[in-house]
Amino acid sequence: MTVPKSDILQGTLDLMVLTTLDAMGPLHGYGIARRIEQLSERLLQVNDGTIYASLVRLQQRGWIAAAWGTSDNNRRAKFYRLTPAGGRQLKAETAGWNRVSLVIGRFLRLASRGTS
Amino acid sequence: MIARLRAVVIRVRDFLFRRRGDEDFDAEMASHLALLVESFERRGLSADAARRAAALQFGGPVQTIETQRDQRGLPALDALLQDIRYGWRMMRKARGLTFVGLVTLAVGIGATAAMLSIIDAVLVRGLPYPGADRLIDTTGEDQARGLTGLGVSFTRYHFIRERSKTLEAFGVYASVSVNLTQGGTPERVQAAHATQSLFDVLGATPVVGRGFSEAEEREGGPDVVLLSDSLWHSHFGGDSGIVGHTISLDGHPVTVVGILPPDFTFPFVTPAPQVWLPRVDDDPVFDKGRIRAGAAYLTAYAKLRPGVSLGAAQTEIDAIGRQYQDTFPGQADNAPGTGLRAGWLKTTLVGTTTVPLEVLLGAVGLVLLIGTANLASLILARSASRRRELALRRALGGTGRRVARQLLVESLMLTSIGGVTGIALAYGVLPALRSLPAGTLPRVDDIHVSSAAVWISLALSMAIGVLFGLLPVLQTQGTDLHLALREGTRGSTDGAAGGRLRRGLVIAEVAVALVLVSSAALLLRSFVNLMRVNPGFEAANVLTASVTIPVARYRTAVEQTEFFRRFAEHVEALPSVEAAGVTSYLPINGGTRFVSVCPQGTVCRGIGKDPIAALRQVTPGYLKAMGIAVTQGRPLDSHDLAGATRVGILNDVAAKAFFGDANPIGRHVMIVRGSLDTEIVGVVPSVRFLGLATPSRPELYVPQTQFPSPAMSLVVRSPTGADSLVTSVRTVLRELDRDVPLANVIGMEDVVSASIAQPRLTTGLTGVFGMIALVLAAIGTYGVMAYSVSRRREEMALRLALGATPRNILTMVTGQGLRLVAFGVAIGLVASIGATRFLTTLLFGVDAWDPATLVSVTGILVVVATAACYLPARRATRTNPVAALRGE
Repeated sequence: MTVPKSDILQGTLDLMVLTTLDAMGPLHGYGIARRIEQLSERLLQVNDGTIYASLVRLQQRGWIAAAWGTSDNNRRAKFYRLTPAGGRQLKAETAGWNRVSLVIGRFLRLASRGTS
Repeated sequence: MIARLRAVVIRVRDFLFRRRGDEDFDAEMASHLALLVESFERRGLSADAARRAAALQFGGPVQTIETQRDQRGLPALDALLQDIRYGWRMMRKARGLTFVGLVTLAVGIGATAAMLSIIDAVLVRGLPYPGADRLIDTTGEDQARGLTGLGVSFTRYHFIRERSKTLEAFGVYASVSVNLTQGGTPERVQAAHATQSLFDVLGATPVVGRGFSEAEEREGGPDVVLLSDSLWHSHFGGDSGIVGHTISLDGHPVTVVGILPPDFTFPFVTPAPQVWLPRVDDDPVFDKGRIRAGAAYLTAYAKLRPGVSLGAAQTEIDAIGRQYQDTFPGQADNAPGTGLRAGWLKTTLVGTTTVPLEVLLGAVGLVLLIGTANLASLILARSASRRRELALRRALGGTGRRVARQLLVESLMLTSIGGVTGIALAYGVLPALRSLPAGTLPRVDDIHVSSAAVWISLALSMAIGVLFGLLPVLQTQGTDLHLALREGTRGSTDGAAGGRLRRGLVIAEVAVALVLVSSAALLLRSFVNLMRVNPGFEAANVLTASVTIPVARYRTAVEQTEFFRRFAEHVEALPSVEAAGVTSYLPINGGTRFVSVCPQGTVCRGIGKDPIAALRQVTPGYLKAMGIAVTQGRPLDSHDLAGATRVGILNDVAAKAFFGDANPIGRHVMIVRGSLDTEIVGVVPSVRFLGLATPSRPELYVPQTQFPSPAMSLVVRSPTGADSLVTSVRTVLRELDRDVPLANVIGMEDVVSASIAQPRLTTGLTGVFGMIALVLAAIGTYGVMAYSVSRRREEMALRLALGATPRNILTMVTGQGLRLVAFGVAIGLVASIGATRFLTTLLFGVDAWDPATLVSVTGILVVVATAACYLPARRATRTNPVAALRGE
């Protein structure tokens, strides 16, 4: 199953980017795109370009910071890293997300039992 | 929250530096793509295939840039700037249209802003006094004789003041003038005797010193004076040390006790008093005896207690008036039917200006309306010719909203520039009003462009902008793009709706123009009638000036009359002088003093009950100097002296009123006060002394030798220029008394002209607005016809090709235009008859429904409109059928 592009919630993509940066440390857009692709096991079919709107948004909020640097294979690239504020935001959002998914999961289980 | 705020700040920053952001993102994208290509190459794809795969994986670069940019900056503002840039290009492309539109709007908005400012200052804004909405004036009225606006007597003032419960303060004043001598030269300054309570009414507390004390207001109290701020600055350098010191007034030392605040204005007297004296019963004209007998010479203002209505105050004043009548039955101001009428002070001040101002505002509104209609038809015409462009933009993916916004921005740009220019115009024009003759417009010093007027005008411009922006949008909505795109390539008529709208605008413009032009024509005819009025005297070559001698030094009647007798004689003896005389009251602007007279053969009933006549004390030369010829009997002469028989001359209105058809010569009238039996020796034609538009009332001329007055006006008839004459008259005066100045020097023609300054202003402005309306309506008609002809080129070509003669075409096109004009004229005529009703009070000697005016105005309009239709029609006849049908 693939998720239609337009339906990917902005917040979801933002959370994925934050998680990626938290796990991998400073990373350029290409790296972030590969990591999301890899983790979502290709369930998520998004164009690489899509993440840039998210990157701008996260920068505006002060959760990530960007600086030009050099990649492993000596290529100039813009690197993004998590800021302390971003770290706090990630923690808060992760907790929130877990709670929601817990509730939704339980709800779905109970609901399916009820109907069967 | 903070994160949100931060995001906004960053967005603004990124918006301002969006070019740098774009470059940065281009580099980032390039690096991302390069990494993608590399990874695909590593997986074994060829360079070409890797590039294709990378592009696919990344997504469309344009869309990515757009979404990134939308996230980064302020996309709405970005689009707006783009619209403005585009609008600017469109305006520059259609320079002619833009110019016409801007001028039309700027004139309309400017005139509106100016008129609104005037109305705001004169009619809307409160008077500049604390508690101004509680200020009233009380004026005497005499119902038996139909007189209103009379003064209040000193005795009645005190009577009311002691008893009133509804009035918080009640004060009176009497205007005088005093000779202020400083550094040896005398100067006449406007002054007033006022009660301290008048300053209480107006809430004026001296900024330096104090007001009048009770002791100073009592008879025989110390001589003190309050100075206006402007006199204090112009004559005493704004030095507070002057308070407590004396200045010389009428040759007497008077102690300055206070300076009035700079914002204290007194617009009720023009020019405003500069010097304020206590003791209103110290009047140069009315002696103590007459004042005690109830001479009504004071002007009274009062402040209502909070919560008291005008009606309640009037009821109380009436009740106190009845008590007054019972207490002092013999007072001069006490005849049956006399009393005081309370009215709002502001209404009194604004007086007769309300109607002209409302008429002018109406005229301005109509001009703006025509201008707007004009602009609307121009914009509609242009939007029709832009249909192809708009359709193209829609076809290329511009959403309907985006295109609509573009049109809206364009029209708002036009109207806001026009509006701002108009407001700037108002700022430029308004100060010119101050150069009008004093009294033309009340509160003229308060007039400046008001913020309310600016906001209303701006809102109007914006509303017009929105309207015009939306009109073409509505027109293009729902058009078939294919049709529109094709239509543009071949000339054809535009949508029926647009055509109807434009034809409707022509009809409306013609109708509105007719209303305005006929109003202007009526006012013009009134004004011409007013100027044609024979005032009863010959104003040309007559110079006037006022001379007041201080009663303190000229105590006796003989001293006073001798002064003026010799003065008049000496001026008459000047070489270039044809005739000269003095009079106590100049006609038209000099005020009037009515006395009760009891004609011989009637039963005398006393002051206030007998008929009245305007008294004029004159020297023998006065009538000759004014060009008033004696029609019956003899003129006054040098033998009519104090001891001789009292004589007088009546005007024909008085002769008729007092003696009917009998010969008045040799008959007597008794001037009731003082029982002065006066023999009528002559009759003269009437003078319109109350103003050109007011019919004359009875007048009685008496020799000043028999009826002294310390305040006189000199009248000199001389063919030489005023300057040299004034110099020689000044010399004559100085020889008689070096402390008496010659004041208010003005030609009699200017006196007359100033008295009709207000109708002149109203007429002039309405005339200008009428002309503008006519021109705008002509332009509008021309524009619509010319446009219609240009759109119908093919049709004309076809007609010509099929055998129509140029004459047929000419008749057809002109006829179509004139049909619209005829509709407009018909509507306009009906509207005119409705609208000119509001002019009635401004008209003089012409009926509001004057058929001659309506017919001639309609004629003018039809001629102008025919010309406006003829020009495009002639162009239609010159269509080259071959070229037009080929679509060139």
